[in-house]
Amino acid sequence: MIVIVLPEPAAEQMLLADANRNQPDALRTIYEQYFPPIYAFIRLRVNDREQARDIAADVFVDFFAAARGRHAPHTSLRAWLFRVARNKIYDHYGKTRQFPTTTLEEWLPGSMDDDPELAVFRTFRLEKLRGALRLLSAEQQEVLILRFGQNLNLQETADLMNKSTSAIKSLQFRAVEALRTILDMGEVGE
Amino acid sequence: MAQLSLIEIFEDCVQRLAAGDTIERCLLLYPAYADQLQPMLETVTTFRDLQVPPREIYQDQALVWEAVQRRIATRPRRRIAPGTQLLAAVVILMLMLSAAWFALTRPELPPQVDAITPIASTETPSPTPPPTATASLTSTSSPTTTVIPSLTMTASQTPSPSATLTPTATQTASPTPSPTASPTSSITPTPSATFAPGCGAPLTAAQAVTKVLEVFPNATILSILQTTKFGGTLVWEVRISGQITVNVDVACGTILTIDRGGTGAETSGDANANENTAGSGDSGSSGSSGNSNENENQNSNDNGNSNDDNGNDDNSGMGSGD
Repeated sequence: MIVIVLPEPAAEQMLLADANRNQPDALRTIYEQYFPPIYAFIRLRVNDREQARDIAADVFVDFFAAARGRHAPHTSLRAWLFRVARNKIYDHYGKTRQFPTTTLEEWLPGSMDDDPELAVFRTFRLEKLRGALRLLSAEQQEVLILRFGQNLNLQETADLMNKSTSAIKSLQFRAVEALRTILDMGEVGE
Repeated sequence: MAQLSLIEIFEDCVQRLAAGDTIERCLLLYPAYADQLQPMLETVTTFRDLQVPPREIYQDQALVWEAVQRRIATRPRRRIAPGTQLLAAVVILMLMLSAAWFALTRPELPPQVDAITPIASTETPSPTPPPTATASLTSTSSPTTTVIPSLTMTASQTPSPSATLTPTATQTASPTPSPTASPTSSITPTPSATFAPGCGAPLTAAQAVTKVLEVFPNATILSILQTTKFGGTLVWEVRISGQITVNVDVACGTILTIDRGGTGAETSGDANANENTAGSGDSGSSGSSGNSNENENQNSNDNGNSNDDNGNDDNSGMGSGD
């Protein structure tokens, strides 16, 4: 499993200030620290790897351009980047917000098991999970990815999805419930 | 209500799992909901394992960085805001309209507007001029100058206060401000004025003769010579009967001086002639009717042109300022 260590808020503010002064090192640091979660967020929504790269590049080009101007993020850089990534994904798929349902290829479990049999089992289980995820609505997919895939807290997720925290609680509950139901029914991946 | 409570409990357990707690501990906290919570929390933990392969992330991180650098290098410059664009368009349009208006109205201005430049003056000898005939441009003077032999001109002028007249004239003035005065005014205004371009085409000899005949319609042209006078001004020196020599500016077509040869002096009684020729002679056309009678007092106000007044004041100042 990838452990993403994001900078502390104070350090993030310093990075943003340096980025605003167009310091290449700050921009590079921000990119290296935030690319993995942003890319993972995009990749979990976009089947095509090349498209995911293009969208990620769009996100960071926008950030680099904004970082030097008055539209630079001032508070939560992570929320800003996720928001831009989310908008790019929606731009990519249009207003219908219908995401592809084909299963992803060559994905591996987040953590590797020493036991090959256990690894196969986990791989099989994750394959089912990915299939079940594609059957959910776009909003349900999004809330699960943000909350459990990217570990955004309730408020961040609510801000990003333009919903209240109560709505996010309800949405995530129903999403997990639906995912559980799909997995129990064995409709996917078998 | 129970459903709402379960949603809240589920969120609490999710936060505990994120903080490192275990599913079992959560179930112990909420035993009444354990049956419902357990599969859901297991799904959440399984979902946490759903990650993009690290190898893919690291590979794509380098590729995307290169792409970002390329895009930034070729990114178009920031566009001007639409409001600024509109404002710039309005300003440009106003400038263009102003330029067009100026271009259309500019030719209507008399040539003296920018033709006369300030000049230095020396006067020899110069009797003290009467108060009303000084070269003070702010005063309204109505000198009546009787000029030999038969030219009587009355200038009523309202000089433009913006004009600065410093005649470089060698004036031998005998002012006759009153009608009974004996006019022996002999003024040789030597305007070192450089008549700026813009008066039009240079005056031909024939046009110069026409100018002179407008003022002296009964005169006979004796000779015409192009020469340089008054400190570098190219003039047509027209000698006519009555020993009169008229100097006409080649550049602007204005009569600069009228020399009365009989007295050996020069007079600026052509002030009005100058004015009139300025008003009509610039284009080289024949003069206006108001100039045809040299004995007739010619009032610059007839032209209604303050710029002409400046020119008249120039001459009248010289003519009457003695």
